Amino acid sequence: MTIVVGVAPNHRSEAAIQLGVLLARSYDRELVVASINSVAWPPSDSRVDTEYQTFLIANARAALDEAVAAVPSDIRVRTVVRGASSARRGLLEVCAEEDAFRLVVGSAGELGEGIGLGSVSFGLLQASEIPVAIAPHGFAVAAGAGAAGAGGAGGAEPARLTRVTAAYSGSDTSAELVLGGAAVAADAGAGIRIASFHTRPRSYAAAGVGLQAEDQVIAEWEATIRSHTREILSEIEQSGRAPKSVEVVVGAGSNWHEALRAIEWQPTEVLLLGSSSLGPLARISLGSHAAKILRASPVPVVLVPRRATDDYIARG
Amino acid sequence: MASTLRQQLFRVKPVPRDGGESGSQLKRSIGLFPLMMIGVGGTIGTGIFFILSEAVPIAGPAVIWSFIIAGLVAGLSVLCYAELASSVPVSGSSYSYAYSTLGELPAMGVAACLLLEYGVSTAAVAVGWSQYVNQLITNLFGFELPHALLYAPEEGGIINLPAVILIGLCCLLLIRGTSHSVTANTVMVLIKIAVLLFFVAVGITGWNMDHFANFAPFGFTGIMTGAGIIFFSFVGLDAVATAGDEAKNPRRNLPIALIGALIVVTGVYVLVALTALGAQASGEFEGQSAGLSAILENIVGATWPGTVVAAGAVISIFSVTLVVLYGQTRILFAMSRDGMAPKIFQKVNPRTMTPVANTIIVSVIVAILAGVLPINFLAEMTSIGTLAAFLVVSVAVMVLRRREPDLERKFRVPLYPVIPILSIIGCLWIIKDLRPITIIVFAIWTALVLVWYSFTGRKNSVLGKQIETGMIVLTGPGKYRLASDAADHAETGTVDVVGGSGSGADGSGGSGEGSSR
Repeated sequence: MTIVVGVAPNHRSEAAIQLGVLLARSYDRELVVASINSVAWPPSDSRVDTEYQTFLIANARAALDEAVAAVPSDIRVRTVVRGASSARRGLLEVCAEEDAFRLVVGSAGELGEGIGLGSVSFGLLQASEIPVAIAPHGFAVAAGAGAAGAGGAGGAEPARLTRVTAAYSGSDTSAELVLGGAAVAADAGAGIRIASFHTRPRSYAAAGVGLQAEDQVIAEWEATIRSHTREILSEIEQSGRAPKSVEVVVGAGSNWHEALRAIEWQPTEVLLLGSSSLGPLARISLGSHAAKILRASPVPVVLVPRRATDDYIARG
Repeated sequence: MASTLRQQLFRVKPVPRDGGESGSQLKRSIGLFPLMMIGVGGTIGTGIFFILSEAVPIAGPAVIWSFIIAGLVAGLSVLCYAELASSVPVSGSSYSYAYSTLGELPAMGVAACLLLEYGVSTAAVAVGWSQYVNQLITNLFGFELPHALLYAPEEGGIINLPAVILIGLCCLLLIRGTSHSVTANTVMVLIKIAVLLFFVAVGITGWNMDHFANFAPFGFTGIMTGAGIIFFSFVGLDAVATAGDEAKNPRRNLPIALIGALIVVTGVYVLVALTALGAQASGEFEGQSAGLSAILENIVGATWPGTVVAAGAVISIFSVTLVVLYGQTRILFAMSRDGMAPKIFQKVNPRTMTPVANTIIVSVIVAILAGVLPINFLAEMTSIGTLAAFLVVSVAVMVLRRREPDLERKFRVPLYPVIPILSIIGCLWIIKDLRPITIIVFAIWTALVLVWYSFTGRKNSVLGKQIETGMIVLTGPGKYRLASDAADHAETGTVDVVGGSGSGADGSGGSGEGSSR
């Protein structure tokens, strides 16, 4: 199985390559760096079009060469240029051919914190049958960061994944994804952390029940999450594929950005997020917690699309 | 054994020692004006849009006095409310205050009143809203809803459909977890006041002094009965006291905001009532639906002013319904965490982070009330519930002054004990002139709640269990102290709460849970 990284000519792709390298090393897979060219529709053999295709391929090759140059020597790497009617379709075809384990893409939007979904990554969420990892802008792993058990002596160890944080929303699917994440983390020699996040809602000022009425509700919510996670933890222990470490954490803040930063993050950590609530409306709907967590995440996010959910859970 | 029962009935919920601390850690962010707007916002829009049609036939033009008397009594009570709120370092409703000062049984009595003050008033407000929605639809689209779908069975209809739909909408919003900032509240208030002032500005053009000729056709009794019905329009003023936690300089600002809000509210009400009476003979009020719109349309002879008022009423009554329904769900939530209401009311849906079952149950009951009961009965039931709650609060202030003279009170009632005594007399006086059916239903309702308490709540009381297990120790008659003063009982460290929501998640905390925001 491979880790497929999608790069686009004239787009910055260092972050995606860095994340691809981290995953490839942690899961001990080959890295496949792919660039997708658009093909003419309807297909034509006119000279102009052939010339244009040649130009595109040369461009893609240059982008791939640049990307591969950044891959460390301990990682096996191949490149693929492919023509397809859309970047999304091309990437999905490459994933199918290369028996991909994860698909890695960069974040859309402006340089800044958090992760934005572009049209390609959003389309992938609807159609991909494997988890999609999205690297935030500027993501980079220094050698030696999070090296398992790095004693500090000797040379810097190549970086590996140290922890998978699984966002837990309280739903059954979310719980199953956590279990899947625990199994994957165990295989990679990493720890698992179950995380729930909440923003502190405000009470209605004029309701006559005090301005901290919601604190009680949140306290009850935390108690519920706590009892759920206890069950999940015992299931992880019984699964026989125990991750290196198991933790539970609740992040609270006055907004999602703060809530995610209320807990500590390691430089070699990913956030696992189910996308069942990232429906077509999630981009514009303000109701989806998953969409908000995604936007505010300080670390790369591994999104499990709806079509990939059953498979992801089964492998756990 | 009798003493044991007495101890049970009057056990007082201890306040975590850091409760006061957490109160002081709160960002005291609400200034005088927004605080006053909280009072005005919680109050205006409850009744003024439709209560005249109910009160004028009873009191005649002297309804002006009914407003002033109801306002005075509300003001006296709310001052007592403010002292109680400022002396109990917990945040919550008067149920929480009563539990921390008077004990479990009185707290249940207050809870019975609050279920009327909130649940029934939501239904009443929703019925008023439906009148204006119908008016708006009629004016804009020339389409009138059938009578059967607009009125309660007693009024010749089948069900009040718009009222039911409104409750359903508010229920959905609350399940989704909408919140509402202090600023949003202020904007809402300004819309309400603007609409009412618009009514006054247009309505004054139809002024006719002859309408005041037979000023008090039913004498003083009429005025007092009117005050009873109208009292319902002052529901919500107590919100100022409960928001006092976050007020800047509460000792100065709380009374100013309360009295200021009361003056604004009473002033607006009296202006609206005067305008309406000047524009329309008092015989024409009876049975009038969407009263304020109808009056303007009759004066101007065009629909547009009525449409403006109806649109404003629809927006502002909607916001009031949402806020009051929210209040009801949170009161039941606090009761459930204390073991005083079924556990279902404290279940929080992990995904929405809101008490979904609680919200749905409350909404269904309120929707049924709104759908099938006439508005005058709903308004009177709300009034008596509020009056009784205010009465208990006024008594509580006096009890607490005797029992805990050294307690730190951020705000003290001026002219003590005159004001609490006047407040008690005023409340009783208004209650006495309500219709017998209202008083009987209220008595039955309160008795039912107390019976329920004696059979289940008393046994399920979280406080009772804590006393049994020694988590809480008796320190004197009716006084208890937490064995460990830490409000949080962090469990085995499996959960590490970061970011400091700070509330104990072990369900032992009731409304007194502190939090650092």
